[in-house]
Amino acid sequence: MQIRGTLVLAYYHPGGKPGWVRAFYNGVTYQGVNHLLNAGFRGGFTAAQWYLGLVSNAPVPAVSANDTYASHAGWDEFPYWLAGPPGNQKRPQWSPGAAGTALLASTAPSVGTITSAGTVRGAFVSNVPSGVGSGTSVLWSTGLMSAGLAVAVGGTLSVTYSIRIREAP
Amino acid sequence: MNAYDPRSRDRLSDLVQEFRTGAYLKRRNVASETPVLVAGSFFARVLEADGVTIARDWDLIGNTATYEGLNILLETGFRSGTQYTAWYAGLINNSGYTSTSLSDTMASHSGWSEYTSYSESTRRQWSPAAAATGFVVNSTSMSFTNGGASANIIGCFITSDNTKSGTSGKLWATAVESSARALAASQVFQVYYEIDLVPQS
Repeated sequence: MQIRGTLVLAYYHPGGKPGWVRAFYNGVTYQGVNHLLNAGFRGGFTAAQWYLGLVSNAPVPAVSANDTYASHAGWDEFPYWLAGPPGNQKRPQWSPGAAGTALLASTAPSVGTITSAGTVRGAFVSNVPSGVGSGTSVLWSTGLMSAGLAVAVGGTLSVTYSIRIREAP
Repeated sequence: MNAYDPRSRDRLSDLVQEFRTGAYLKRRNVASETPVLVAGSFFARVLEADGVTIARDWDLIGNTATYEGLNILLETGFRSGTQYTAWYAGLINNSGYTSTSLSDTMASHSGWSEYTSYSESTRRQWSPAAAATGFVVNSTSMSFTNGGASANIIGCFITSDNTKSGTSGKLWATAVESSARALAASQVFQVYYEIDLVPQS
């Protein structure tokens, strides 16, 4: 069987004009799968809320299954994609519906506003809304596009994410 | 052969290594694509009534997780769903067996029935240690001592309910062999169970 996570990023220019759209798979970390196993079979901690973040293209990123929330030497977050009211902005939430036939998917896109121009290269999923995190912080997955793509101040990025566990083909 | 055959531990180690490296799945022609390979397996052997002499050495029995089990994994991992903190192994009877299904549940598994004529009063608890590098496995084997008559076992299952013949609880996975395994009276069917979630680089 496989666990396959799929990210779809849709960028809208300032003013709302549609921009680029990319769909790609993610790579899951050991920290992520350990969390899943411990939560599923050993009563380990559960995280009710997960968040999406962006991977910067500066520096050019390299992701690893060994990455953790606290340590990912090969890539930096693009921290200028935020949601929520002023003064309480954080990473957009990922809100999947109930699992059905081993599929967990966004019920609605996770939308954030670009607050500083730059180039994004991918996305990650974590249970941390912002900042440094804690002992129960989990980096579930990272995914990279084939190339960096530009975003501008005032633009918005809409991300949908799904996880499917299926028989290997 | 000595009552304790050290080659048996070597064979178990070999099978575990084969499983964790994906060689077992490759042998079954299962493609290993990104990003995470999910595999569960029983490692099983049969001991004589003395609990030491090997009647049949270790075999690897790959499992199939059910939709019910996979949904629990996703719900507990990402939506704080109901957790089942204790899991148990049971046996699948070869008598009347036709098939297992992704849609099987403890309440409904029309293709197989449970074998319960072992002397232990409940299904055997599976107690894995904390996940490390993407796998969980029990460190102490689970043993089923066959009752007063010979039997044919075709496989095993993992469930959240320890009651023999119980239909409540959740069914995580079933595992069946290509052919039935004979158990004589008083022989011991001994198993380990491991789940690997292997990120593919």
